[in-house]
Amino acid sequence: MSNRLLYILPLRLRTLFQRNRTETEMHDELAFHIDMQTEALMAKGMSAEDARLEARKSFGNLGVHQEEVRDARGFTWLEGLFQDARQSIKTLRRTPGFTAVAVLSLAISIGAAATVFSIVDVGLLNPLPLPHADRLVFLQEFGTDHKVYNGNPARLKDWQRSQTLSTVAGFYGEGLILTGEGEPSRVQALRTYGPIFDVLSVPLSLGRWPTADEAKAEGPPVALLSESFWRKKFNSDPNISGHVLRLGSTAYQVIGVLGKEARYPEEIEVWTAAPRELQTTQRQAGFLDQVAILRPGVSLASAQAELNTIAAQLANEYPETDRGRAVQLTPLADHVASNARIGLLLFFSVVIAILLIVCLNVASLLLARGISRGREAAIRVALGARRSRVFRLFLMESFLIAIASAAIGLAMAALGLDTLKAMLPLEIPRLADAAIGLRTVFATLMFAIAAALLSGTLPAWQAATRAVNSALKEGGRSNIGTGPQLLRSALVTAEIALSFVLVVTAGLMANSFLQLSVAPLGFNPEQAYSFAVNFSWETKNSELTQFAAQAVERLSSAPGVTAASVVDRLPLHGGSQSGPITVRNLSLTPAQQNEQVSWRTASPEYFTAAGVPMVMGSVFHNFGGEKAPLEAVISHRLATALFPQGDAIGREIAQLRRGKDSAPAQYFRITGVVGDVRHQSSDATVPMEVFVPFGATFWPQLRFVVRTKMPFTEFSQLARTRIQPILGRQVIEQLGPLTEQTAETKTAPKTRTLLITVFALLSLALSSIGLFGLLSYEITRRAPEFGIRIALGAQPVEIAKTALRHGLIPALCGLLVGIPIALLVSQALQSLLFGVQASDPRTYVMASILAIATALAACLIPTLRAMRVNPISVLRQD
Amino acid sequence: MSKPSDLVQGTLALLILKSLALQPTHGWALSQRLRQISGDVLQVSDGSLYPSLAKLEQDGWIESDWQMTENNRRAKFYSLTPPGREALDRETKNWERLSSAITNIVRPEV
Repeated sequence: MSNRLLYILPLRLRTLFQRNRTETEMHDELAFHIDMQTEALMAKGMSAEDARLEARKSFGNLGVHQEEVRDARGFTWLEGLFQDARQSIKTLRRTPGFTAVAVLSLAISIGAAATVFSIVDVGLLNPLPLPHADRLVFLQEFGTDHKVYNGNPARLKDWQRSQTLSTVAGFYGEGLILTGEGEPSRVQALRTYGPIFDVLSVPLSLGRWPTADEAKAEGPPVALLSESFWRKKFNSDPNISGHVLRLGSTAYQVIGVLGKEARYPEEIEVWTAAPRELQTTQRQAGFLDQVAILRPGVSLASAQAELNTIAAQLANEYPETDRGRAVQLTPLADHVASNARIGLLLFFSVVIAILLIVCLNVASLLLARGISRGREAAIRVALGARRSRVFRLFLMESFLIAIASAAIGLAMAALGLDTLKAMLPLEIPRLADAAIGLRTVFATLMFAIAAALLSGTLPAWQAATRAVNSALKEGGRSNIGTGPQLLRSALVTAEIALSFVLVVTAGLMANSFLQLSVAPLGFNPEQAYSFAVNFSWETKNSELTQFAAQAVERLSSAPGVTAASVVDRLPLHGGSQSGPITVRNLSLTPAQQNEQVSWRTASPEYFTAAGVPMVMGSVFHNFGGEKAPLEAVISHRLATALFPQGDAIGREIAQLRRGKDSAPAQYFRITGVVGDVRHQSSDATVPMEVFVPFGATFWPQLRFVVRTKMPFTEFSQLARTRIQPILGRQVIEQLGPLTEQTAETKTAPKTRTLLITVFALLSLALSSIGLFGLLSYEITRRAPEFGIRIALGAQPVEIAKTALRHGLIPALCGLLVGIPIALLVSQALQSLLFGVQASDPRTYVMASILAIATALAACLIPTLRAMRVNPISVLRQD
Repeated sequence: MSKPSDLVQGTLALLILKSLALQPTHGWALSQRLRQISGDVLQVSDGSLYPSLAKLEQDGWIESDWQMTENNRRAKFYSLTPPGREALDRETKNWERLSSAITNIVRPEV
C-alpha cells in the first residue's frame, strides 16, 4: 500500500508550492469541459449562445465547484493558516506593549541560548573535527589508587598486541628553541611515537610523510610543520621541503606541511618523532599521551575488555612495574572535551532555564490576554469557527512572537558571540571555531518552536475551551472564572522554583569562589617578578645547574634586588614530580606510605624571593651540584603529617623507589620547615612538599623569581642585560610581575561565577515580573470585592493580607518545589565547588531569603493598590 | 445543496474508478459516460465530478496528465494508478457482497 505515497507526495508538494499552476490548471480543465459541452450541444443544433448557457447550467455553480476542488486539493488548510497569521499580526500590533515585552524577552533568551549552543556545538558535540573521530580513543593508564599514569614507550608497543585497536600511537609536547630564523624563539613541538598520522588521519598539504625509519627517529631527523606555523613563520613558502630547522641542539629537515585539519593536539607548530634515546625508556617512566583507532565495527566495550586482558598479561610479564596498572579507553572526543564539559553543560542548562522562565512568563501574559479576549473567542465560535480553529488562531500568535524573537535573537547572538568568547576560559575545545552557522540557526529554530509551544499551548487551549463555555454569557469581566488565574499561579510557581535553583547554584559558586579568594596563597606575589628559561629535556643536568647558578648570581648581585632565585614551578602552577616517600629509621603508617608527596627543587633564596615564610629551622645553604650536601626543606603540612612531635629537623627523607633495577634511595637531611603554598588557584588544599637544592633532581624548565622594589620596566631591563650574555641559544619567556603570573589561572572559576550570578539575578528579576503581573491582574479582577469589603468597614491590613496571600502562596510553593531540585542539581556540580558542600544550608537559607524578599518586593505595588481601592468608583463600574 | 450525499459521493468515486479502468479519459468524456451508464439515477451536476476527481487524485488512486484530444485540444486525462486498480477490485468485491446481501434482505423470495 505504501507505493501510493509515490503518487501522493509529489502531487501534494506541487499543490503546496505551485499554487498558481494548480489554480490555472483547474481553470483550464473546467473551461475545457464547458467548451466541449457547448460544442456537443451545438452539434445537436443549438445556437452558440444557447449552447453555452445550457452547458453552464448543467455544470452547476462554477464558483462552488471550484471551491470544492480547492478544498479537495487541500487549499483551505494552508489558506486558513495564512489568514490566521494575518489576523494574529493585526492583533499583536494592536497591543504593541505586550508584543514588545514578549518579543524582546524571548529574543534575549533565545539569543543567549543560540550563542551558548554555538559554543557547545563545537566544544562538546564536535570537539574533534577529524575523519573517524567516532573511532578514535584515548588510552589512559591508572594505578590501583586511581592515580592517573601517563604512557610509556615500552608499554605503548605492548598495546599493539591488541586485535581490536588497529593502530596505537603516543606523543608528548615539548617547547623547543628555534634558532637561525631571526631572533631565537620558542616553538611548540609534538614528539611522536608510532604511526600518529594514521591514527589522526590528517591530510598532508605539502611534501611527504616520514618513512617508517624516520618515524622511529632512525636516520637524519625530519619534521613536519603545521599549516599555521608554515603560514606565519615561512609565509607559506611552497619550497619549504628540504629547509633545515634548528630546534634546540638538533637540525631537522622539513619534509612537509600538515593540512589545516591537524588541530589535535591543539596549537602544535612542529611535529617530529621523539629523539632516539627516548624511543625506549624504562617501563616506570610515564610521560606519553596515547591515542588509538578502533577497528571498524569494534565496540568500545569489547576493546576495553581486550585491553584489560593485555594489562593482566603485562602485570605477569613485568610484575615490578606493571602490577596494579589498569587501562581505560575513552572516546577521544570526550577526552578532549572533558575539562570543559561540566562548565559548558552548566552554562547551557542555565540559559535553557532562563529560556524556560521567559516562556512561562509569556505564557502567563498570554493567559491574561486570553481572559480579556474571551469574548472574541466566543464570538468566533458563535459564528461557526471550530474549536480547533480558535486554538490554532491563538497558538499562531505565540508562533509569530517566537519566530520574530528567534530572528532578533540570532542577530544578537551574532553580535555577542565574540564578546562571550573573549570572556570564556580557554579550556573549551575549538572555542575560536564557534560561529553562528547552519547548525546554530537550526537549533535556534528548534528553540523558537519549543518556546512557541511552551508559551502558547496552554493559553490557546484555555481560550478554545472557554470560548465554548462562552464568555458571552458571563457578561462583565468581574465574573471571570478562576481557572486561568490558577493556571497562571502554577506557571509563576514554576518560574520561582526554576529561578530559585539558579540562585542556589550561583550562591554555591560565589561561595566557593569567595573561599578560594580568601584562602591563603602561602606566598607573597607583591614586589616580585618572574621569568622562565626553558631548556630542552636532553640538556645535561650539570649544564642546567651551571646556568641557573650563574643567572641567580648575576641577578642577586644587582643593586636593589632583595633576593633572586630559581625554582621548577611557580606557586599556583602545580607541582613537577610526585610520589611516595620514605624516612630513614621511621616506619610510616600505610596512609603515610600512600601519600603522594610533591618533590620540588629550588635555590636557597627562593623562599625569601617568593615570600614563603620559614616555620622552623633554616633553608639548606647550598646550591645544588654533584658534591653539594644532600639537604631538604619540607612543607608545614608534610611536617605535621610525618612528625607530629615537631622533630622534623635532622630527619632524612627520600623518594621511594620501586623495582629491582632502580637506583638506591637518595636521602636528604631536613634542615627546615616552610609555610604551605597552594599548587592550584581552583583548589585551596595545600600539597605535602619536599624542596631539595636546585640541581639535586633534574628539571630543565627554569623559573626565576626575584624580589625587588624596582618598577617593572626597570626590572625587565635589568633581567635582559644581566641574563642575555649567558643565554646562548635560550630565550627569556613570560617575564612579568609575579602577581600577574599567578593570577591568570583564576579566570575559569571567576568567569563561571560571574556569568552564573548574572543569569541567576536575571532569572530572579524575570520571575518577579511574572509574579508582579499575576498579582496586579488578580487585584484588578477582585477590585470590586475589595471595594465592597472596604465599604463594609474592612481594615486596610485585612485587604493587604488577602492580596499578599495571592502573591506569596506561589512564591512559597516555588521554594518548596525548588529546594529538592536545587539539591539534585547542585550534587552534579560538586566537582566545581571548593570548600562548599552542595547542600550548604547557609546558601539555601540565603537564597530563600533572597527569593522571598524579591517576591515581597514584586507584591508591594499591587498590594498597595488593593489597599487604596476606592469603593465608590469601583462599585459604580457595574 | 449541490454537494452529493456521502452515499452518492462514494458511489460516484466507484463509478469514476470503474470508468477509468476501462480507458483513461478526460473530465468531460467521463461525465458523458457516467450519464450514459447511470442514466438519471445520479442527480448530480457535471461540475461535482471535478471535486471527486481532485480528491481521488490527491489520495493517489488516480493520476493525471495533459494530453491532446483527437480534435487536437489540450485536456487533462485521468488514469488509474496501480493502487487505484487494487482499490477498485477490493471495492467492487465489497460492493458485490453488500449489494447481494441487501438484495437478499429486500427481495428474499428471488
